[in-house]
Amino acid sequence: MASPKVAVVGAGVIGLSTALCITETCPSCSVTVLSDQFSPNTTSDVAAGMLIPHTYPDTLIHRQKQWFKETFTYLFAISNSAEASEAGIHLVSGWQVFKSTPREELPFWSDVVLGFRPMSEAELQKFPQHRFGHAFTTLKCDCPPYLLWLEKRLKAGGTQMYTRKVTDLWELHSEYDIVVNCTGMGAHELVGDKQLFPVRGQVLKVHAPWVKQFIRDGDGLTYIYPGIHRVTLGGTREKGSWSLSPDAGTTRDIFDRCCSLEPSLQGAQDIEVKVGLRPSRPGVRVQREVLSQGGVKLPVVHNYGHGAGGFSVHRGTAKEAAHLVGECISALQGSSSRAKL
Amino acid sequence: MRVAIIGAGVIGLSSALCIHEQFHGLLPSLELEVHADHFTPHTTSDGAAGLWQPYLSDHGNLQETLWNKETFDYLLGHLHSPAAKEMGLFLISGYNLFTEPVPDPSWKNIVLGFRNLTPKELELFPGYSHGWFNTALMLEGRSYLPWLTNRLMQRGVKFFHKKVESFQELFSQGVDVVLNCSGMRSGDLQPDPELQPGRGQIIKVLAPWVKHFIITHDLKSGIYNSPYVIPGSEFTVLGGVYQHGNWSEENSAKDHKSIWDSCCRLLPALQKAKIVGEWSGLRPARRSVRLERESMRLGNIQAEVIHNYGHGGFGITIHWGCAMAAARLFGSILQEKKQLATPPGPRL
Repeated sequence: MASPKVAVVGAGVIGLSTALCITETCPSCSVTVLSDQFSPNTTSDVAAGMLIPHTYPDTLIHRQKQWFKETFTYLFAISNSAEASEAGIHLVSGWQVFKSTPREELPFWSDVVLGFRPMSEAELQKFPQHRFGHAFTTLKCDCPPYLLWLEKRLKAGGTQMYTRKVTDLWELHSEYDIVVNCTGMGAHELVGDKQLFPVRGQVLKVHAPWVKQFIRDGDGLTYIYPGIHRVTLGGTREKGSWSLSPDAGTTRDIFDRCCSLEPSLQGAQDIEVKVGLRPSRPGVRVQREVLSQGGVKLPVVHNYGHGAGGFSVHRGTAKEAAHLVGECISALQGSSSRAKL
Repeated sequence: MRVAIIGAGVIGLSSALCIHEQFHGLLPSLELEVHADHFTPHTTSDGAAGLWQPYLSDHGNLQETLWNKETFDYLLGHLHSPAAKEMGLFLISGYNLFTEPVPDPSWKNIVLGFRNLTPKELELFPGYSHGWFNTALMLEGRSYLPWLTNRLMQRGVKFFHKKVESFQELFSQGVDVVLNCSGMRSGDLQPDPELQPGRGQIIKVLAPWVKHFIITHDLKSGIYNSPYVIPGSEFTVLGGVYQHGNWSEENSAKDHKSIWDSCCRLLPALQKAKIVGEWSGLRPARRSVRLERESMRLGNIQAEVIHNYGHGGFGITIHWGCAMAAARLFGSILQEKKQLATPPGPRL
């Protein structure tokens, strides 16, 4: 198999980063990205892109930690380079505050982010309703810049990108040797994964350039994440809601909750409301599968179900998926040489 | 009781506000006026980035450390007030970087979350072996000075746009007390060989992805003669020049290149930052701040001057502590003049 043809379905942070990893690990592969949406209309574009991991109950912690560490290391290097501003990657410091002391004092990722430590009494004074907190420095991936930067690198490496809605993976079997499924919420329809469910998130993106620090309530519902041009205020976690329409009452509620953490937000301008459906699953599905129909086989690598933690683990899961693509290629080459025998 | 403040930078305006807040209720005859030839946005305070941070060492000047603390605590208390945005006040975290171990600064317990940098953090800054991380405050002069001006105008304080040539000039007009907050040009009013310019130059850029201040230190070349990056609410300030004795307020191409090159080496992404301005200013440097009373005999009146100048590169950092101290000195003048219940006396 001289030049395996790989189709990556999905152009959010998972699809694009997986495509990029495949071009890196398999330079002879011809990679094509197919998606019905590209930036700025993907779920990733709604997300703040903060590297603060979500914990998946069904994925082994050491695997999640490995994914996060790889992602953090990769982005850390970019943030420190001349490309940082174009890629939209930047360091940001801040606080995670808790109304009651959390059961586990140290999250699994505390030694991956920078300078992690408990907040001092003086710092906690700023949050009269909260009794405990963590201070640390982490990275943020601003979208669209990060997705556009990935697209640019893909195009420079010869990857083609097409707007196309794939309704059945089998559509692709005649044109491509391997299909990589990075369809996020789309996998619900596309592969009928009943474990996948939306967790609706509404956010506000506001102009408040004096906000330089992030603040996050440990309950995960209220957060303030300063990006390059806008600050993301959140949010909601509505399990099972498929609605992509902004809700006015929710907007008011998010704004009020964020202002109680950071009163100066009262002066925020230009409020934009966005909604995204976190493609949630008890565990991230990074897995190989061989589909079979009437004697024809189609190798598929799945990489979806990152829920609230897509940005935090994207590079780690992309590398794992690329590795699985490598296994698919070996399997194909193995079976084709057996066929020759 | 007419009080004239000379100077409309952060020191003059904050001293005026502090005195009015404390004494206008007690002294109905109190009339405050600000005299200056430069007002915001043309003062030295407007050019400063606005980061609250004292020098590395207080050289045993405990008084100044206390004034710094008073200022920080005062500002921290205002952080959640509705005025914060208008004041140009916000929290910011960042890094101080060194090429050798350095003793902890006098302000380590004043700022929030002061700690040493971890090895991984130091990887961000090749060439630097030690450093600090802490959360401090920004108080942007371009917002704070107009805010102070508005507060003063609301209180009926008058403003005079004119250069004051001598203290006598004001006393002969009937002013009772003068507050000398004339910063760099105090020497024009009264020679002071201890007051010298510490010339600085900055480049203003658009680099909104930078969320931390980064101040490098070269102990051999002295304070602020090493690159620094300070992100503000509208633009980011690049700097790193401190030239003792240089009175030039012209931007120097040589300094520009040095600042640009050294800051881009520190933060490679700055190469893509758009330059939107450049500015030079003179830090009114002095071995210690001159904050004291001076009584002058002019004819048959006792003229009182309160000096409050020489804040070098830490004017914003120390301003409120000094304003409070100046207000206390004013209070003692009032006590001596028994001004709280005295009819107006004869004039010159």
